[in-house]
Amino acid sequence: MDGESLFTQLIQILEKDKQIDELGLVISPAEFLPPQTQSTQEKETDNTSIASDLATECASQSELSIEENEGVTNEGETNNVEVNTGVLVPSPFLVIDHKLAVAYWCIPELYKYAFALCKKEFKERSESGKNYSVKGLKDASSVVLLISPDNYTVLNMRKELILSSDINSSEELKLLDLVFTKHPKSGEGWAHRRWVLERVDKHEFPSVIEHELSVSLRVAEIYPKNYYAWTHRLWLIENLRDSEILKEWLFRDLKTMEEWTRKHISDNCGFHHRRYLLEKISSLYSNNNNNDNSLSHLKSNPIYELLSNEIKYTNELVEFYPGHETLWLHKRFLVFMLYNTLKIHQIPSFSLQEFGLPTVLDEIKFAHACSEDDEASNFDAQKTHALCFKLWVIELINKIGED
Amino acid sequence: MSSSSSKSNEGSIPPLLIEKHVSFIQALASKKDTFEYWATEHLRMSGIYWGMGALYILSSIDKLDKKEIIPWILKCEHSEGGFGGNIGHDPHLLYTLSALQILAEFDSLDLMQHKEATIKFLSSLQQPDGSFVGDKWKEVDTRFSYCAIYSLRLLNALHTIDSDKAVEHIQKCRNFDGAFGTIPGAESHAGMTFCCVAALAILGRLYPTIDPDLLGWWLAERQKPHGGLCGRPEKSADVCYSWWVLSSLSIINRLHWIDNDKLKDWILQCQDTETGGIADKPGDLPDVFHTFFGVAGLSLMGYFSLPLIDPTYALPVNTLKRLGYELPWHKDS
Repeated sequence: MDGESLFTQLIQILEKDKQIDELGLVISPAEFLPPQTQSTQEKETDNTSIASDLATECASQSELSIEENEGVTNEGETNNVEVNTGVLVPSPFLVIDHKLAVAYWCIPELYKYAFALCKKEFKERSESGKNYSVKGLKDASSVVLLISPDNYTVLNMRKELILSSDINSSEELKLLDLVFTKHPKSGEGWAHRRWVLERVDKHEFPSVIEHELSVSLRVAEIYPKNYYAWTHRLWLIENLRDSEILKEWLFRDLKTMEEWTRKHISDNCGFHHRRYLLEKISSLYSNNNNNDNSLSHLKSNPIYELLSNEIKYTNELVEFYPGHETLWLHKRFLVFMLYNTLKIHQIPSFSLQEFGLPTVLDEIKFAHACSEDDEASNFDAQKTHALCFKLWVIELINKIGED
Repeated sequence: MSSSSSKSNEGSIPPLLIEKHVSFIQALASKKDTFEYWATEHLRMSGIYWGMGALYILSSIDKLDKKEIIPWILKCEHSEGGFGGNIGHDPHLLYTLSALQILAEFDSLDLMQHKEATIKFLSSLQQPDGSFVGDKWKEVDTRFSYCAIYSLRLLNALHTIDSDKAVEHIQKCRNFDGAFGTIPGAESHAGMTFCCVAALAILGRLYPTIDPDLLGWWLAERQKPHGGLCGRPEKSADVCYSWWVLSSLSIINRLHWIDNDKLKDWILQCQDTETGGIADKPGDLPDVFHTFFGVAGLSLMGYFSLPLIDPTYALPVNTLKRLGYELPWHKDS
């Protein structure tokens, strides 16, 4: 089957079902078909009525000639299409319940054709050629990106189409949503998404952010510890310019992240994000009147209570789930934040008890207890992490003492 | 500690299969029209660089046809400056660096048609806050700080950027653990850490931005019990981190902070003993990217008398000496 027929077939499928929300690249789509009662046909040519329905409909709607559809006869028959070698092959595309499967074998020809078409159309467009088809470029570029979203040149073509209003932002975000179901780690894809979002009106941004935060979390679930999904989350929050809206979102995200991190205790991304939120909150509140060290003023900064809760929360998890490096690293940060960032030891009126905070000695004793609790599961790992924590904290305190 | 139990987890450790790896890389040239070929078509420039690097370390760089590659690279050069990842691709900083690295290796930087335009392109990528973007579409990433600074170094044009601001931005990307992320506030990542450390090294500004003990600690903790290195806490090991972590440790003179023998054994286990090539982890399919970084890691650690590769520039030490570069992080043994 040549690239052009594959391309045409795929475009028809995408047009027919605008709600496709998941993409998979597979060895053979046939394996995803529900089991059928055995027909007299051979296994390779066995396609269910779903696939053949689809092919029949495509054939009847398309401009494909009868010759190219020799294999398609009636419903229930196969939708095999003859290729040059005279060997019948099953369709490489399958849609079930808005999930699209594409067979690997067709990709080289399909991609080659689609990418060449992109370059041809884009050239026509740049030269104001009369053969230029916006739809042609849109279709070709979406096929390229479904297969290889890191093709930055094609992403750039779509940026130009967005700039000329031939594609709108929500259309593009929807395509990227689909792309990410298969390619959640495409760095170029995420960068492109941010470029699209940057063009959203700043006043609309807070409403867009809710959806984007859920996209980031959804992708982080499909592909845990996904650096891009989490950096995206960070970027979204950093782009909230209004400080009141920002504060609201910081606390909201802290809440969301508490539930999430409780369920993903070995996902350092989630805990790092909490660290980011805490640092951000701290910097937002400590900008008012730095010279006032009275207890009442300190209490107006939520960071101390947040840190106290964070330490309790983390210690709870450490005891419940021994041996997780992520949790112990988080503990290191909390000590760092109190002594290195907030320098609480230099604030005369600061009372750890007032804020329910442990002393450094308390933390070291906690670590020591963990390193001795040989009844705990995962004890070896727990002991290693606890001892490293102790050493790291001692190094930190020594260094602070030197300054 | 018993030596037999601490050794292999998957049976015996194969030797370094130099010839097989060379054949693997050579065979890639003929594997067109495969899924992998098309999925990586846009980054072919970097692919050639990785292949070249690997072949050099395997003492087989003569297997690369300079007469074919250089004209192809020049076809990727844009008149407005910069190189694309392949013919027909837009200029981008990542592929500009790879192109310049290959040209430098083959002593062919002077064959560039648009050197001034490329210098302009590179320096235009620096933003007011000192960060660097990858192209005119303005994605910021510390990888780009490394690529831009390195590219300009190769073109002797570092004076066209604001080094102080560049260092300032890198500092903003440093976390409490001493390591670096992709943008300010992002999680520490071994790849970005390498980029930041190496960028500072090129600028001669490693200290005091880097706290070598703190950073060395974070890097050393990337080693897993089986010897392989990962990129972030609680992630699995991947051969490419044998480069990102190792080179960073090398630059701050703490290569001995990880167990070199264990890492060496683990890298050897990532080799594909049938087809040649090195994979990201034992048993996976090999590719040229992991093959390069695997042998580069072995070279850095000094095993098998492999030709030396520099940790900051990821190019042969000999090439850099030929270019007259100072490599202050090298300790003559």
